[in-house]
Amino acid sequence: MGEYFNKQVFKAVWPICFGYIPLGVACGILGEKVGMDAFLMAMMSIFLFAGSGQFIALAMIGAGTAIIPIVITVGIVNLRHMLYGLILNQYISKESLLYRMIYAQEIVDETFAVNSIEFQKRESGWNPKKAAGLNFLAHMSWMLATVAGVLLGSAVYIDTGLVSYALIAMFIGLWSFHFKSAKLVGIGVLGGGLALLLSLWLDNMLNVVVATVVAAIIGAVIDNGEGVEKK
Amino acid sequence: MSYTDILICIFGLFCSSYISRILPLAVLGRRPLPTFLSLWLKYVPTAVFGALIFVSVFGDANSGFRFSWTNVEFLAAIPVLIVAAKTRNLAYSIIVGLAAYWLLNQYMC
Repeated sequence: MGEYFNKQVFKAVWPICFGYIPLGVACGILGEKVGMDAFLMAMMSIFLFAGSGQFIALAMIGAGTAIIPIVITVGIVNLRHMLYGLILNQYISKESLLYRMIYAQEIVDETFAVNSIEFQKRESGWNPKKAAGLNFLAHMSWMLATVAGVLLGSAVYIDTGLVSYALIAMFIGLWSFHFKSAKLVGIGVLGGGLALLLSLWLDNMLNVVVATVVAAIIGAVIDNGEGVEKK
Repeated sequence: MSYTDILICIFGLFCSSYISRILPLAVLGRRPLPTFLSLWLKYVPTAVFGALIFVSVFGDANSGFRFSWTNVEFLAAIPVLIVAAKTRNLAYSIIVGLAAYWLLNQYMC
């Protein structure tokens, strides 16, 4: 067990867990408002495990959206995890298939950010076992925080407007991670404008999906040799 | 949505999210992606968050656009954007957003 959970792992994971408490609790409160109980919330946090993805799914469930548009929208939002997998591959491609299948489920913005930084530091001695321990602790703290949010939401009154604004602020925070070039910012604004325009013809968040696909194609076309970013 | 519907929905969400997660690790191996696809993937996150932000802030055609100077979602987004761009910190962004949204609601409406 010491290979998976040790002082170095705890030191690397605590900022993630600390951030997950308010975010997960807010997610659970939103879940409770749209009819999730503690069991459903735990299932969602185990099997979906995606902060923004869960918020979006819950907001859509609350709006009475059908299952298929929810599944497609969240799938598109989580496409970015493919990038993370491509970058992590160099560190874990020699591990067993079972290890990689479990690791895949643990890829989120936060675990990717911390693990890739630790793997890059040669002297830190970070290895796939420590990464797995970190992933497990992060995932568990997210699940517990969301379940706590459901329980808290059913016990006290919390303004829905405030909870949904936490989501918007989180989107802006996540968007800012990509402010690395004028083109990246511009394509984000373009995606936003297109989503508004397309809402004249498409609903159920399909406007967001189509706007994302089209804006990213335009981004790829105008990228003009800036190249794929190395994280 | 019924209890069973939500369970089915969670299973669907697992499938649509797991594809992106497992493809590079178990299927693609260390082969590089076609260039255009990797360039497209580079722009997906910024496009998706831009689209989600605009739609949450300005509404959509169905529910009515909210292009106005008294749109609290829009006004509160300004300090969040500034703090996010400066700190790149998720927790600060959320705290500033909640504070701005709460204050604007107290004093504007």
